[in-house]
Amino acid sequence: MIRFENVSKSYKQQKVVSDVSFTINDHELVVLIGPSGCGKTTMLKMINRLTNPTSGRILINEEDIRNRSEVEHRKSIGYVIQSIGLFPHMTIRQNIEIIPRLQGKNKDEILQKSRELMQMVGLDPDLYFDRYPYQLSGGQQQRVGVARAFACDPDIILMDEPFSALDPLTRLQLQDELADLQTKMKKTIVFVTHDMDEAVKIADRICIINEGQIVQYDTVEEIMKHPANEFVAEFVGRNRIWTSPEYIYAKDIMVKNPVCVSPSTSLFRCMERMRMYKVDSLFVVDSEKQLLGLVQAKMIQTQANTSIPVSEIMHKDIDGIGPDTNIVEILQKVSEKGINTIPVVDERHVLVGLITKSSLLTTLSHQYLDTSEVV
Amino acid sequence: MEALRNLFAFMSANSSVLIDKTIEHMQITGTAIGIAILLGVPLGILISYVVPLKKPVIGFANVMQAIPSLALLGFLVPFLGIGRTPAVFAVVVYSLLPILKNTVTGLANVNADTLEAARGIGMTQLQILTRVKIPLALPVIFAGVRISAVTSVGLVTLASFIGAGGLGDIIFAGIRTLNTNQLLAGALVACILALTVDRIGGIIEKLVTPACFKERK
Ligand SMILES: Nc1ncnc2c1ncn2[C@@H]1O[C@H](COP(=O)(O)OP(=O)(O)OP(=O)(O)O)[C@@H](O)[C@H]1O
Ligand SMILES: [Mg+2]
Repeated sequence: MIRFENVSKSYKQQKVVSDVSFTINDHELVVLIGPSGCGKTTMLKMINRLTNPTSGRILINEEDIRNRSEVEHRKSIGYVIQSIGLFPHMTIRQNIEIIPRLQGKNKDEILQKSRELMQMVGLDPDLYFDRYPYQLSGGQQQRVGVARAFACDPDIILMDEPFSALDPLTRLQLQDELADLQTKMKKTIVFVTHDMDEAVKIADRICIINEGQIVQYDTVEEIMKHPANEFVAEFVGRNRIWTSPEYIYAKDIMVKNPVCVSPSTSLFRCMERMRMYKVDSLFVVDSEKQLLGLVQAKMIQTQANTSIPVSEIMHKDIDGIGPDTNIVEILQKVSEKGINTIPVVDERHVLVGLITKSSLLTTLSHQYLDTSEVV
Repeated sequence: MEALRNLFAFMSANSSVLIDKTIEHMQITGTAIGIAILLGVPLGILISYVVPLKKPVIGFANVMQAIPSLALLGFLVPFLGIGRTPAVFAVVVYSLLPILKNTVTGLANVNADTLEAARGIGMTQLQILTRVKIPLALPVIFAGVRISAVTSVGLVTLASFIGAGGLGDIIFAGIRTLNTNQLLAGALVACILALTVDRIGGIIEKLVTPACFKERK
């Protein structure tokens, strides 16, 4: 756990980071993002003590990092920078092994480890070990940079715009790989970028910074759905949510109070309710609001006797979806089953809402019609 | 044509003296350059780290370089007598500046990102110096050594004035006795020696240049 406590940093008169406090949880990938010059790199470098705060303190696992030896502290933290920072006069293998070798670790163990690391970042060790950095493409070099950061098995890895110098395709690929790697390795990663797409793609949490202050620190979803202010909304981009539709859930778009009837309601009364609420179907729920079935107007119209209870003719085997089903899954369901109305039920099978084809249409149209509230 | 034949006749007749004097010349130059490296490179490293020392040290080396070579040689005689010692001393003083300057420049020009990466991954200052800075600065440092070595060959010819020996002896004897062949023989060998030193310097420079600087252009 990395904790900033009232951290400020000034260069001469200029306050670059002002009174920042936040906590980075273990095993999370936190993205620091903000306009150029807002202090992202400065914040990152304070974590591995490449620069020190003017005031305030930074704790790692509750220990003030100033109490640790600078060199030991840095060895325990992986570091990847934008310009890659590989040593040009060393081979790829030497680059990866430099710190373990300086620590005098066992040669065979080091070799085994660096082979693993190369494989981890998708480079064939036999092919690349003895090459020099200039003999690799930018993307390959950056992979080596990432491998080197993992060489000492650090719990924390700092990355300062590691992919920004790469072409868009390589960048996307490396982002995917990093996301995969993170699900496997579960490191604590602090990642600086100014690319919101990148942040959304890889982050667990996003920390939006402006002029040395944290504007919003939250999960990707929260940031997209509930931007703290105009700056965040502007920065995130209003229709950003549509690039990640998996963050739009049934609970966000459902009709909250679907029209219901109890199982003993007569068909006649059901017809009246439909007319009253201008709907063509009703959900049948018990006294606990647990979903029992569905009845449609056309099912009642074919009945001669409208005094029988609705429970006798209702559809019983209807699939509900959970409130956390995302819009992509919902659309799949709608197109697969060709159904018009989908009940949303919680884990106790209580009816909490309803999604209709028309409510889906309304939601989807937001991305083309410039309306402010998306979900 | 006739003159050239005479010159070669003279050279083959006096080959043993010429060889002796060449060896003497190389010894003086070699000793001086060796000392200049042992002095200049560590001093260059020192003043790269202890910034307040940089100006006075470079300044002093500049002043020394500015003293005319003959004047410097003459100036040393009252203190160090005549012979090889003052000659070596003078050559060291002259060689120091290029070596010192190139060491400082070489170290200062190592890419800042590379250094930040080195610090960031937890290398100590000493490790950064020996594993990163010096290897990367080596070509520049050695370029300074090469310049020094070539100029020293010329300077050592002058050192014959204060009895240091070397090829200068042959040249000045030729001047005194108006023996053109002798004069030219000494000068020719000195030239060849200077060019050879430059060539060898070039080869060593290539050898110490990390692979990354060779192909990337
Ligand atoms: N060593 C320094 N001396 C003086 N000012 C500095 C120094 N390092 C950074 N700054 C200033 O601090 C501010 C924040 O710099 P920082 O590098 O943290 O920005 P950043 O958010 O990483 O920007 P970018 O996205 O452009 O990398 C900038 O205004 C910069 O000019
Ligand atoms: Mg930056």
